Amino acid sequence: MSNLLSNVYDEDQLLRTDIYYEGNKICGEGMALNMSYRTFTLESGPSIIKFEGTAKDATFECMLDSITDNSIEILKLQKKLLKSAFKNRSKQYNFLLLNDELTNNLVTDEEYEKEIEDNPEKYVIEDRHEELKFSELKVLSSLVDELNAEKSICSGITVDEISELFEVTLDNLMNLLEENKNLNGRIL
Amino acid sequence: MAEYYNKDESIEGNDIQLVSRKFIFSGLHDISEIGRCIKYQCSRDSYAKVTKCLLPTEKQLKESSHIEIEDKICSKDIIAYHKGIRRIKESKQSGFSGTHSTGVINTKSRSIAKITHPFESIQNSINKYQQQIDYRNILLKK
Repeated sequence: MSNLLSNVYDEDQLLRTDIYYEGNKICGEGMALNMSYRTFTLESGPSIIKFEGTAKDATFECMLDSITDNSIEILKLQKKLLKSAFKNRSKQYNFLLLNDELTNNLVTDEEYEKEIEDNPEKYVIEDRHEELKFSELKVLSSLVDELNAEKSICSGITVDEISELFEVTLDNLMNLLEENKNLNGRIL
Repeated sequence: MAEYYNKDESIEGNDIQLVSRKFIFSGLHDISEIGRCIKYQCSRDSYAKVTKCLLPTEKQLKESSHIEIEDKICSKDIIAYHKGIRRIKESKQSGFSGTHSTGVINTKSRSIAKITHPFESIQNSINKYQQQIDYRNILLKK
């Protein structure tokens, strides 16, 4: 077994499951001596990562948590968030430059309007926001923490700025927390 | 006509007066119901009030928005959008407080202003919630 990610060992239930990478796949190997099991799978993306196994509910959650702490999914999501943040900051910067040129009379009103009309993708930030799952919100939160740690790039950033930069909506946050509570505390 | 101080409270109108000691001009946005809008962040001693109502035919962007004339939101952090692609320069007004003057912007177009809050408050809610889940899992294991 190579690249062991984690193992879950439940002494009371005599159940042990190892989770590890094999090439690009996350695999699991389990052994259980209890009758009440549950099957689970983890699938993702165009090249499917599938994880199958059996475990009791609580063990399953521990396992899922340990996978999501390391998974490729998180890296993909982080990449997507950072890409949209870079894109939107660039648009903001381009527009500020253009506006500066207008105030310094380097471009005329007509040229200014034409430039925006011809190249909206360069200047206009779209109001297209995705709703997040709770697990994704945790990824976003840790990403902001990381950015904060490096010379306080995001210190004092507001909810609205986060929403604009990362193209996500945080209006449904309270519903999200309530929904998760109703799922008997399972974070999925 | 009322004043609102809670987070996410918003006002909408065809003319909004923005008053703040610090305006940050922050880009051009495309909002589906309004069109292209300029955005401002007001980040010190700010308030915004409706000075001209929406027409009955105009749809509100947020259902919970206050739209009556003189409806006012007050907070440290307010964000505002007004229709158009040109920045409105703020005019300085003295006598805001004993020591400070303030900036005023009258948008004179379809506008929305909203109270915002730091992302840290959301992070705190997540952490608090996560602690509850962890505690629950420990109890389940026992």
